[in-house]
Parts: sequence; structure tokens; C-alpha cells
Amino acid sequence: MRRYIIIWLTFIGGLYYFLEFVLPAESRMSDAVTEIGKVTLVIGGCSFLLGVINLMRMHTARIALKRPGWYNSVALIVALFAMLIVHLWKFYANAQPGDAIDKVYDLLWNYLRVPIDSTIFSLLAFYIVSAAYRSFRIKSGEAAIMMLAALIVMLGQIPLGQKITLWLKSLETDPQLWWVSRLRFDTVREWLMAVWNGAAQRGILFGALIGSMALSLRIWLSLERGSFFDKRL
Amino acid sequence: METSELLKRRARIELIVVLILGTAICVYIAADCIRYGVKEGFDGFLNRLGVGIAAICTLLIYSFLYRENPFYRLLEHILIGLSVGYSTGVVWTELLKPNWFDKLVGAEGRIPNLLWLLVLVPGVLWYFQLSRKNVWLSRILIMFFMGTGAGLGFRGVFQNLLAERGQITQSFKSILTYSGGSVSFTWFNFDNLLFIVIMLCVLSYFFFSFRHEKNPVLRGSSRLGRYFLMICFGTIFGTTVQGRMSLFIDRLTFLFHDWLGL
Amino acid sequence: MTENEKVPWYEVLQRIDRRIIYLIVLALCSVPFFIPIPVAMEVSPPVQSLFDKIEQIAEQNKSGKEQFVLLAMDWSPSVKAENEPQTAAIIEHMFRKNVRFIILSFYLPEGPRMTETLAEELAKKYDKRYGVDWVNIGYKQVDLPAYLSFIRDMYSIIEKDYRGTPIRDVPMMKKVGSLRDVSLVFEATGSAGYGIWVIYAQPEIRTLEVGVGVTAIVGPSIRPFIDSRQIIGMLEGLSGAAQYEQLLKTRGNATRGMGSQNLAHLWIIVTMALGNIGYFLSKRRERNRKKEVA
Repeated sequence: MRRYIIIWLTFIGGLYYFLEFVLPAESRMSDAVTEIGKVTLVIGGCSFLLGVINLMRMHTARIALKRPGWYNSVALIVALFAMLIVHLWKFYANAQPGDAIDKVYDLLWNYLRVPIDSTIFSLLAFYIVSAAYRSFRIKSGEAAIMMLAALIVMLGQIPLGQKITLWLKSLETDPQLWWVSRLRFDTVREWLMAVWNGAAQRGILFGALIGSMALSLRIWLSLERGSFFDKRL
Repeated sequence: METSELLKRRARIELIVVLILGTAICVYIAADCIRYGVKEGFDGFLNRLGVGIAAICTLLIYSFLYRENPFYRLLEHILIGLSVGYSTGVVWTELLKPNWFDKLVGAEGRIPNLLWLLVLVPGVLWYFQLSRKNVWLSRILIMFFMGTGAGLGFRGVFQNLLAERGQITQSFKSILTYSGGSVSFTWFNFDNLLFIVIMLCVLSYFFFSFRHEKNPVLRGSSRLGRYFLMICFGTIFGTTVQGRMSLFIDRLTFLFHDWLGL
Repeated sequence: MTENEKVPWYEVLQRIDRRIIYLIVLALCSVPFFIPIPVAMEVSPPVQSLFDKIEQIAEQNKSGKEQFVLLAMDWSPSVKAENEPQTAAIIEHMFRKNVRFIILSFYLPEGPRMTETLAEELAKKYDKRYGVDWVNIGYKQVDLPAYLSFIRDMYSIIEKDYRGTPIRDVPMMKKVGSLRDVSLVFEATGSAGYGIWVIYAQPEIRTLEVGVGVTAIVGPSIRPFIDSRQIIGMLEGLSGAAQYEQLLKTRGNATRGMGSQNLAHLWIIVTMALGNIGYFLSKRRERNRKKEVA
């Protein structure tokens, strides 16, 4: 019984938008799009406390049991409620730039959140250097092609790299050697990106889109299998 | 014994370096705050203090590159807390309050509409994910939204592929140029032909409905497709390098320019 | 290899401590802050195309019905290194050419907030006023159904701007009847937010063009859309922003950052070369050893 409720609701959920797309405008199915959209949006938004509840469960357990690193959980909970309270306070107090609560918000946002977030992401710069050094080995013809393409792209996208072949630009107006001017790093890079990469990416995109359409159909008709879909109800 | 002596010595050196650097940074920040406090008042002092705190956070995170340490873990947890707190607050202030609560209670001169209470009936179903016994109730909502997404997905795929400027539509490229009654093959046509060949070879690489080994055409084209994919991955690697380095350069700009004033 | 045998130099090449590699990255990226490095670049066609589109809008605004630009700011602090200079360059161009714009985001609340700071800084330079020369609608959390209704009627999901003013009371928005008055959507994103404009909005509104400012990592995946003219122009990472600044004849953070990019790229090429030299020589030694044993 439960399974049939879910199957039918899944089908109805997708049916409206599918019909709205395929039926002509005269069918007036589009009239209700706005209202239905607002309602689904609010229903989706009701899940906003799920993340907070899950985090609280996990981290309060860690604090209570004094597991290693429990003080990090304290910091997490303090930061969570500090940001939430300050955000709501600033909103309801209609704080203007220069107000005390706005300054606290600034501290949390501009001087904690933004720098920590950007810095953690910036660690990737070091990882890619490390990966390029340790793992990028030309063990086959394919790897050699990949390395060559990477080299051209890297040299073509930096000013110093472009400068190496910039002198070829002077041959643009030469009636016989004009084609040599197209061998500059930046031009070859652009050609690689637009034609070679673009075509391959389009091939990948076709596969991905058709795959996603097949998956959408399977989900819509509840034909999909897997640990989530086959879970006992 | 020797190894533990070495480790102890290393730990002592690290501690001394951290203490010296830490003291120097704190002294610099204090002096900076006082200088701006005198120049621009309390706001200037607060601003420089904030910049100092941001700089300390940045340097502590970079200490992870030397070795895993508790400061990095602490800042990581603080980030998660701030992000979740912010997202939760934003969902309330930007989504639920204007689109639901204000309409429900009749805020800003509107007539209260109690029908909006009904939204809580499906809305509360999300929280049954936390119950082991009744988790199937949350599945109703999840699958409903997946169904909605699937229905919308058809539109997305068809419009992306077959619209006037769609991917399939625009894949039909001219491989010859007709002008003034004559036909020519230009560089533009060559690029188009190359584009089509590469695209078909890559597509054939992902074509699993027939066995590649038995069909020589498919075998050849899928092998070529593999090489073309390597070029594609090489370009992705090249651009990824630029992307990742930009993230670090931005932080360096902050440290040198905004913090140290260089 | 026995314990007493010295480790050959090409084996050492493959085993350099990662912390030394990191230190060299830090040192090289810091050099341009003290010693200027040439950063003039060739402008790529996608960047030029986006620049030309805004120039075209500015020209059309002089003679015909005013067209606006919509900045979809779907970027967060983690990708601000690339998206912020791109956004700053585009905003500066629009301020210079008196092209009015709307800021919003359907994915990330941080984007409009950070873009507002940029716009306010640049507004001082060009004497522009909020509400008259630009509007920030802020973050609107929408799902696809709500987005479809936005395409048909902008005001169905927008009631107030970022500062809480009723949207119909904002002077600039009195001239914006619908999304059809928007000629260009510039999407700045770290991932794939451009999809909704290209897939859902553009087929409905034929006159709407889409330009993107993306992180360099995403750049290659945008190329099929540029080829099909679903996206008319692109700023790809920091170099895209630097090229745009060059077209504007200005020197912003992107141009300054390219100095460090130069040396960082060269160092990565060197590390790849070192690693591979060490690898090939090791392999050759192993092959020779096997031959000796045989």
C-alpha cells in the first residue's frame, strides 16, 4: 500500500510538468505554474531545519561522550547559533550599515566566513601542484597526448607563455607564411578549446543528457532500482 | 630512542617557531589596530582587528600544509557552523517568511490566509527522515520532488538538445561554402568537419549497444574517440591549474595587500 | 638497490618533499607583489564577444527602447578569487556605458551580497546611484517551477529588493516590465548555474542572450554552448577577467593576479618535467638491470 502511494505521487508530481511542456498553450496548463511553483517552493523550504537537527544530534553526542576533538563540536555549535541569531536579529531589527549588530554580522561574515572558506578552497592550489608532480607520468601514448594538450593550454593562457610566440603575429600579413602566425600558443590554445575540446565535450554532453533523460523516465515511472529505491517501506 | 629524541627536538623547534611567529603576528596586529584606531577612530580599529583575525585564520589554515594540526580542524568546524547557521537563517528570511509566514499571518496589511497552514502537512513529512520506524513518510515527499524534477527534466533535455540553438541542431555544420555559384572549402569548413568527426568519434566511444571488437568501423572510431577525449582532459587539466592557482593568489593578495599593506 | 648504494639523482627528482614544492609555489607567487612581471595578454574571442555585446546594448540604448542587463551572481566566497574580478570588470563596463543592471541569484545568497559591495565601491567612482542605475534583488530561493513562473512574469516571485524596498517602488524597476526588457544575462558562477538561463529562459525569450563568467575549471564544459550560440561570451577564470580589464584599459585585481599566474604555471610545468625525467630515467635503469640479470 505504502509503495503504491509513493509510486502514484511520484507519477503525479512529474505528470503536470510533462503535460505542461507537451500540450499546446491553448490547454491553459501553464496558468497554474506560478501558484504551483510557490507552493512546492514553500514545501521544499520546510526542510530547512533538517540539517541543523542532524548536526546537533551528531555533535552533542560527541560533546556528551567527550570523544576526541569534542571541543571542535562546541565551536561548531557556537558558530552555528551565533550566525543564525545575528542574521535573524539583523533582519528583524532592520539594521543599517554602522549599527552594532551590523558590525557583528560583518565580523562573522567578512572576517571569518569569507576568509576561512576561500582559504580552505585555496589549499587545492597546492594539491594540484603536488598531483602534477607526483602523478602526472607519461606512461602511454594517451598520457602523452593529454600532457601535450595541457602544456599548450597552460602556456597559451598566461602572458609569459603568449609572449614566447608573440613574434609570429608579425607574419599575419605575409602572403605565404600567414598560416605560421596561427601557430602562436594563444591561437592554438583557443583552437584546441573551441574545436577539439568543444566537440569532445559535446559528445560527452549528449551522452549525459540522454542518460539523464532515461534516468528521469525511470524515476518518474518508478522503474529505478538501487539501495534507496529498493529500501523496505 | 634516537627517533624519539629527534621527534622531541623537532617538536621543540616547531613550538619555538610557532611562538615567535605568533607573537610577531599578534604584536603587528595590535600595532596596526592602534594605528588605525588613532587615525580613523573606533571603526578603523574594528576594521583592522577584523582584518587581523582574517589573516590569522588564513595562516592557521595554511599551517595544514606543513602538518595536520588542531587549529585547522577547529577552523574547519567553525566554517561549517557559520555556513549552516547562515543558510538556515537565509531560508527563513528569504523563502519561508515572505512566501509563507507573512501570507499566513497577514503581515504588511495583507489578509491572513489560514489555508497556508495546510502546507505544513506535507512540509513536516521531511522530518520523518529522523525516525527509523516512519521514514517511509519522508520518502513520499522525496519521491514527489524527484517526480517533479523528472517531469521538468524532459523539458530541460529537449530544449537543450533540440531548440533553435540546441546542441543537436547546431551540430549540423556546413563543411562546404557556397558563394557566387562556386563551392569552396575554407578553414571554417575544415574546423566544422573536424568538429563533427571528433564529436562522432567521442560518441562512438560511449556507444555500448554493439560490441566494439566485432565492428572495425566502431573499433577505429572509438579508439580515435579515446585520443580526442585525452585532448579534452588535457585542456581541462590546463584550465584547472589556472583555476586552483587563482584561489591561492587571491589569498596572497589579501595577506600582502589588505593586511600588510604592501 | 642496497642500503649502501647512493640514491641516484633522478630517483631524488621523484621524491622531493611536498613541503619544499609548496614553499617554492609560495615564493614564486609572492614575487610579482614586489617585482612587476609583464601581464599584457591577447584577448580571446569569447571575451571580446561579451565585451562587444555590452557595447552593442549601450549603443542601442541611445537610440531605441532601453535594454537592461541581469547579473545572475551565483558565486560564493570559495570561488570569489575568479568570479569577483569578473563581476567587477563587467560592472565597471556597464557603469561607464550607462547600462543599467539588476543583480540577483537563484542559487547562493552570498553572491548578491558580495556583488552589492563591489557595485557600491564602483558606484562612487562613476557617480552612480542605487535604485536608479542598478537594483539588487538579492537571493530568491526558487525551484524549477518557481523559475518557470519567473520567466513568464518576473514580479510573480519578486516582491522586494535586497534592501527591503517594495520592488515596484524602485525607480529603475518602473522601466522593467518583464524579462523581455533584459537583453543580456551575465551569469557568474563557480559551477553550472548558467543551465537554467540557457535551457529554460532562452527558448522562451528569443532575444535574451546569455554570457557567463565561470571558474577556469568549468570553462572547457561551456565551449559546446558557445559553439551553439546558446552562450555568446565567456570570461574564463582570472585570465578572462584580466583580458576584460585590458579591454577596459584598467588595471584591477585580475591583471595583478596574472603576474603570479605566470610563475605558478611555469613552476608546475617544471615539476611535471622533473617528475617525468626522473620516471623515465628510473625506468631505463630498471630495464638495463633486468637485461644484466638476464
